Amino acid sequence: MKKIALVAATICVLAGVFFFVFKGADADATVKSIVLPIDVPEIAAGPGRDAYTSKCMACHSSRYVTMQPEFPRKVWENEVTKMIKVYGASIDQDQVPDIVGYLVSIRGAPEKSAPK
Amino acid sequence: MELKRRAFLKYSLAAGAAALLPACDQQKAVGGNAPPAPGGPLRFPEKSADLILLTDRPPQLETPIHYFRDDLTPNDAFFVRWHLANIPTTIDTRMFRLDIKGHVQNALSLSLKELKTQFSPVSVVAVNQCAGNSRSLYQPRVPGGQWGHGAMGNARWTGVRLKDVLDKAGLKLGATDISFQGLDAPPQAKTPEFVKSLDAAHAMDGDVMIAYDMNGAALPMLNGFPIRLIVPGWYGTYWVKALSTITVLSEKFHGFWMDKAYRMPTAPDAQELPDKLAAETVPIAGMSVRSIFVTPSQGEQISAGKATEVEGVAFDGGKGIAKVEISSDVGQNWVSARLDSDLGKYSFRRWRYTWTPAAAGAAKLMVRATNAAGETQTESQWNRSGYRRNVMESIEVKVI
Repeated sequence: MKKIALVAATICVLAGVFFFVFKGADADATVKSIVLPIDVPEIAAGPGRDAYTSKCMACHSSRYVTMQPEFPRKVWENEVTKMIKVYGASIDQDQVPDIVGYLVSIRGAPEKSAPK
Repeated sequence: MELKRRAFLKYSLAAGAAALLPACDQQKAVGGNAPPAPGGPLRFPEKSADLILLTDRPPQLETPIHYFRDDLTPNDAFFVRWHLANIPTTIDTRMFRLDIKGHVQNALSLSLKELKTQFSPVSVVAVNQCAGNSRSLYQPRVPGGQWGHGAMGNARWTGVRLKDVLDKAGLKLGATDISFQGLDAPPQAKTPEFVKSLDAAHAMDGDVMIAYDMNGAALPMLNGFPIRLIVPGWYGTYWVKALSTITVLSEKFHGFWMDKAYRMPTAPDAQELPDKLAAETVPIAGMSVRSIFVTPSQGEQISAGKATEVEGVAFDGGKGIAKVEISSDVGQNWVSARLDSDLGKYSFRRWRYTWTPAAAGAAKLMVRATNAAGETQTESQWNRSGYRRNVMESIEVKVI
């Protein structure tokens, strides 16, 4: 009995596969699916890294920052403000200096990256 | 064996990808991004391995210049740019519907099959160019996707006229704006959904279309499968991918991506100064006149006293390219290039110039295009967003 059930189940599965493949020949009746590559680049260590990874990288990968040229602190402040006010990023006000500091540490313009 | 090698390259090179980016910046300063090392760092589905990775999530991939040797940019080399991280990755074409709603007589919900069978198919060859194409060449540099010249491509789009679809729905009297939304979704509840709009007259002009076919094949998922809006002559921001909802409005559309983002100064060539930003901005719209070099490539060695074939592409917002000129003496004298056959007013127009450099040494070629309305290119340009570049491009070669 079990054997018959197994054979029946196998036939059903094969039929299902065949049906899917057969339907696949019709361009108007297919499921199209892609898998996006996942690759998290090395995130440099430094103060503010945790706030950066939890808040900024929630919406976009770190490459959005690492592809940028080196900018003065003012530009990075504007970017973080824009992300909060315009794009609705859930960043608490007390996290802003940490995040700006981290952005300046990895992509700050040299002459203005050490205001101390 | 090949698979193992690829997997190894993928993981080993991916780790070094961030380190590679600063090196790319140096390349950009002299005209365009450098293609990545063969095999890495990341390969996207339905896309060639040598696309230039700007960002992975959401994906922004740039087309290397060599692909512009073809009049039609291959689908697997066509640039990719999404705004919101939740992009569609699975489409069941039996379930997919395009909804047309709002200020219409009959709201419609069209399947892909209905779209293909209930309307007359049309085709157009048109350039899709990102508003921020070539942003990395702006000085001083501006934040945003750091594209070289490859945030663009030219394709033959086949689909249906937007006008025909809107006529079937029947615009009610007083229809003013039409908004367009795709299947991409914001990563946060407060992030504005990506919705663009056209005024009703533009939407009904018969040129705007909904494409289900790109260069004779279905659109790659990353270019908007199963359908995208085609707005010939206008920047890519309007070419909504994975188009799923069209809303007809009886009043002006006010959405973030029209009212706050993708805006430019009103001055000619979208100019402003870093210390004197324009007070007034408007939504970016039709494309400016441009021309770029395809061959030789930046820094290439060529021989003195020998004829060298110089080639590139020019395009504009749909007036059509009338003239392309080359200067080999920093803009003092200009000579007309030859134009290849016309593939349509929205297409790349290939130009060719045979150049025989007399003397050895560093040489610079410049190119400028002029369209049928007499609009041409500018010598220098800046705006805060790095939009709408139409600077005369130049290329430096070594004559030996």
